Amino acid sequence: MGERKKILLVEDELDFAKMVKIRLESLGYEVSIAGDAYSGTQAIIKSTPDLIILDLMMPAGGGFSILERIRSIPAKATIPVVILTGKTIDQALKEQAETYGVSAIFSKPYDSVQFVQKIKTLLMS
Amino acid sequence: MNKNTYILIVEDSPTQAMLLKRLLTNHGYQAFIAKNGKEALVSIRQNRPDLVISDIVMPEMDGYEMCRTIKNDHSLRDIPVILLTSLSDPEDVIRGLEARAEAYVTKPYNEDTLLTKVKAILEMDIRQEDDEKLEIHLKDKYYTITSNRQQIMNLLFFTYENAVQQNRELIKVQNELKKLNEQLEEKVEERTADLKAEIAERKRVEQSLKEVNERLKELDRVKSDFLSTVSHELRTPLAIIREGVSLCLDGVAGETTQPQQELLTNAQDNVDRLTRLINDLLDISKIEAQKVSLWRKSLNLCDLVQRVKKSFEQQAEKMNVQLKTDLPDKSIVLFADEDKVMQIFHNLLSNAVRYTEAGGEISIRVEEKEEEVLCSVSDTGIGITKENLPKLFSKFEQIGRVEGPGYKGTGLGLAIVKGLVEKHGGTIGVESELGKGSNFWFTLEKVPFPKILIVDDDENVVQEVRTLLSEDGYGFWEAYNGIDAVTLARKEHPDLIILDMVLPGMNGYEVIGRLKQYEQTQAIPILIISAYSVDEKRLHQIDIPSAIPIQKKPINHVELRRNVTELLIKE
Repeated sequence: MGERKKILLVEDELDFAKMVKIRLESLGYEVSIAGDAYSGTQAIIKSTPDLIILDLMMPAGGGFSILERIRSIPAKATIPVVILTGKTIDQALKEQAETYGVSAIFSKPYDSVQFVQKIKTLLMS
Repeated sequence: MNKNTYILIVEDSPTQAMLLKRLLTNHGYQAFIAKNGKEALVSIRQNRPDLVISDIVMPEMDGYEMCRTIKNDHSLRDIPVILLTSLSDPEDVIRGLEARAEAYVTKPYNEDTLLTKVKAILEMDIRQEDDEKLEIHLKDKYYTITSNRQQIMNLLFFTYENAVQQNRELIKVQNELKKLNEQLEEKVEERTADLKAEIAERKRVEQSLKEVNERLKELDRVKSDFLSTVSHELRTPLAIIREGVSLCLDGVAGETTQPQQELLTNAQDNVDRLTRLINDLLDISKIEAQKVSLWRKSLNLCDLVQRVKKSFEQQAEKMNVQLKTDLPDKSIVLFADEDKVMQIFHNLLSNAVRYTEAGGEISIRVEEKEEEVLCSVSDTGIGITKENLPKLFSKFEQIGRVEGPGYKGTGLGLAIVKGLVEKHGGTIGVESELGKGSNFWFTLEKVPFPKILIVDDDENVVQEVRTLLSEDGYGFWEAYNGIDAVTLARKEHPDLIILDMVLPGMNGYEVIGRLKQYEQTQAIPILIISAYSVDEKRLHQIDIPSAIPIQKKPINHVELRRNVTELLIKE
């Protein structure tokens, strides 16, 4: 088994972030948490994670503001992104996500089986 | 002395005569009446009155002639005569002079004036002497006046007095008129002030209506925000609970016993139930607040039905219920919101599965009609009583609930379905027989696909956009210059215009300017595609109510399709 895959979780609800971290660490991934859009963007710029999990509604800029910023950086443009949101997923949101090349959207509370399945698939390729 | 004063009234109108007689009698004179000049002369000769007051226009002999006769008779000429005339003509004065009358009283007479004159005349020394003749020329006629100087002066003064009197009355009337006029002006001013106040009031009301409207809009916006905030705020703690329970169940926090597993599974199922309830509540709130906008795109209905069916297959198999479809051979492509149509089928199928017992059958049917598509989901389940049918599409009506394992309804599913069907211009209904099954049907309106006008001088770009968007079922027109674009837009009223800004002849800004001028084209949404950066200030000056999405070349396909869909959403 080679190097552990790194996942960045950008989520302002720390209780929830901890749960997701426990879940993903139990699968053998290395998980770091950023509590807002700014530190999330900084973390991505500093160290390129293998996968980004993004909340959409956070104080001082949502997940899309991070995507706007990092998608213009060639080295970061292809990092797979999964959105995890409390918003209702409607067609408008889906299409907006598609514009930014988002790989999957899950609404809270998510089905952990499906969520884990998706993360595994994305990190395998 | 008056009692012995004898006055003869010559008047053909009995009423006038009696009025005058009463006036004179009341003031102590003895008055008698003659009906005309002739009768008067007889009476004068017999009784010799002290004064004659005579009307002018009378049958048989008029006032002038009678007066003349008196004055020509030496035995009678000292009897003074007062003529009642309207004095409407200077000739009346001349005629009076000619007839040698002593005075005039204008008709209608003022009682005091008449009495004063009567008194004055009676006190006057009237002696008629022969005088030289006086010739007067008036209005192309010659008149010979034979009155003496005293008579002339008297008559003229009486005339003058009359004129003054009339003048005074005229002034009085004028003053009254002036007063009335002033009052009128005051009233007009008052009314004007009232009107001004009324206008101001109306403006004020209008303004406050505007403010109320703004406030309502704001509230509406707050309500929308509220819904999405509520959604977020409720889902986050639920997610924490669910993930916590789920981690325990999965043994991440250590081994769990069988009874613990059961308790945790129960908790998880109910978190899921609460999640469904929140989702449904949000959906119904949006429907009721008319906040649902359809994200219409090209939709292959049969494909969609197959997908929904597939998502229920596992559950149906577990419950030993057979799922069948009855679809037309020809594919049906609708301009509809895929998610919403999916939700309609999903909710109906959830119900069908829930209320159908093992060994039962559920079938989904789709049939294309002239103007709509008829879809149905029927089952061989428990059915619904007639009394319960009308309540079915109301909120929180769960009728004869027989719950399947681990999946409880929210009581909102059918209310949501009804709202979504109606939003798609359709109707919904149900037929059911207790113990035999139910058939839920609904229609979806076949909304015509929007037509898009593509304007670009580069044919490759036009074809690229066209190919890309034709997947979504739109119709197209093409224009390669600004003038053709405006002409086509005015003629065909496209639902959307995709416009390049750099065009030969008329450029993109000018095209937009033109389109905004015509009523039939000003509301058409415009999507700008341009290889160069667009002068947004200039766009703003052409007065575009909503910002136009700007798509830089090279074209990002996903973004283009998304913008097109968004611009075509009609509230």
